[in-house]
Amino acid sequence: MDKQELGQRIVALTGTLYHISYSLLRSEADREDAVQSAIEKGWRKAAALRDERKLKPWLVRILINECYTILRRNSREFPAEMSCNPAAPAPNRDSALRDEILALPEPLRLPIVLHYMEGFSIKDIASALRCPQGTVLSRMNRGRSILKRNLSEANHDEEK
Amino acid sequence: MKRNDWETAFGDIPGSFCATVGAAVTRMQRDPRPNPHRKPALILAAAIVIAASTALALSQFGVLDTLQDTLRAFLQPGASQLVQTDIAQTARQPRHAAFTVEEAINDGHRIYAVIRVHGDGDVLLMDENAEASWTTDWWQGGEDADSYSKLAYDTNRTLVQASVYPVDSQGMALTTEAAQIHYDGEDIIYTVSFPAQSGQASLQLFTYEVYADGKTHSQRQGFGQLDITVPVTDARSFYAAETPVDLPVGNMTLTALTVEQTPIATYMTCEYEAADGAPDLTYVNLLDGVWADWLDENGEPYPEGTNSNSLTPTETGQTRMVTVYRAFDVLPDTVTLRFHNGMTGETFDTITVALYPITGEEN
Repeated sequence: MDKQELGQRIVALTGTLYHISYSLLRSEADREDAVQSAIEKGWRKAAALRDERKLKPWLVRILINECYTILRRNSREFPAEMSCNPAAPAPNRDSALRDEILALPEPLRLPIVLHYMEGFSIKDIASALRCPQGTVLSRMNRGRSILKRNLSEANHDEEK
Repeated sequence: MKRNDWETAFGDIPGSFCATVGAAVTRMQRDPRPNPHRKPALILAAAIVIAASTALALSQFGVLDTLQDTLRAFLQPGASQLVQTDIAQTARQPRHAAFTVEEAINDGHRIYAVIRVHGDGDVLLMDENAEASWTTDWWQGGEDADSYSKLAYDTNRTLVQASVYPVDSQGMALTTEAAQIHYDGEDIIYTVSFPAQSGQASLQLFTYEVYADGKTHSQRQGFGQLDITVPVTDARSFYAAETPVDLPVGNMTLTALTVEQTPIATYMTCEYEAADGAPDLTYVNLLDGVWADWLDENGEPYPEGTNSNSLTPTETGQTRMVTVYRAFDVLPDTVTLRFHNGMTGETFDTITVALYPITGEEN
């Protein structure tokens, strides 16, 4: 994969990179910092990518690491200990689904975003998050249950 | 839940995010320093050369000569001797490791520092970019070594990831550039660059246990801080251009342009504002972002780009844009600027001004 192709393929992943960073980081500036660092590190590590077809989950993994690094830097805590700390919603956007996704604990949020927004397979999510497929499935089940319950309650409240 | 609901749940992607991705890709495509992917024979040859030169380098030039791919790569020709090796520093070391700043240079705009991280006896360090499953020579494109996790497991040591963050006086992390990583044995050598206005700087240190043993994921961590003093080098020269310069297409005026050449880079500061009698749209555009590119001899913006920019009020309450650019090239005799609206692509004036030397006090 030459520089031109690598660049094109990374630019084509802009939406994915945005969704991942949005689901983890509060501020737009932090998201941009994270994606910039992820691209730079990914680029320099490109030689370590043995299967070019894995560029997407590989770059997502690096971006997740960058987001965690920023979270650690900002909070001085590892993100597993701040798992109920959702990103702030963008202004002027009213989306119950978005709010509920962001309200999910982080371990449940990422598998949901990767699967339903980005179409990642369970296997690729497990690879990106470095955890067993069974763990991904159980987190997605829990996440779906919470989303379903909360969205139902929200709809119910609106109907009242 | 419809598929479309998921795809649009986070709203549109902001233009600034797309621009960040595009700019990062462009910068990496231009990056003249490829990721080294050396063949074993070349590694062996390099190792022999380094081993032969180490004693001489350490005795005469400090560590710099053995790490010439790091700090020296960012310096102007002949400036290596300005690198300081006796850095005043006070440290509060974190759990797992000890950090020291071995070399640094401060040009008044940025500090470049070489930081050594040495792990405690029961610790195997891996750098901040690495993954536990990667080979310990990934950073030089290797695939022959054991993974970090295997090496830690086999030697019964705790695998620890070590990171370094420059922070400002408020403890807020500064954006680093040119973070490069080398290993010296099992020590990690970070070369980082970060903004510096004075001779004082602080680095925060973070260690994070990846695996304490083969079974548990301990997540213990440590924080430390290094406070260093790196006086600003005197080896700087200053230049200016005659101003004001009218920018008739954009209805603006270039009110000041100065250039400072340091051992690390050339910094150009320009100030521009709406001309007397300019239409309201000019003021709006200035607030919204009328940018200037500093062009090289090929008419392309210097890839190092903008160092900083700010909108400041003028004496009459209008808006003045102050932008500091940086280029690693040596100083040209002239400066060419192209003014444009970064969002619409509309181009205004392109001007070339000559430089003349001034003293530091005049700057």
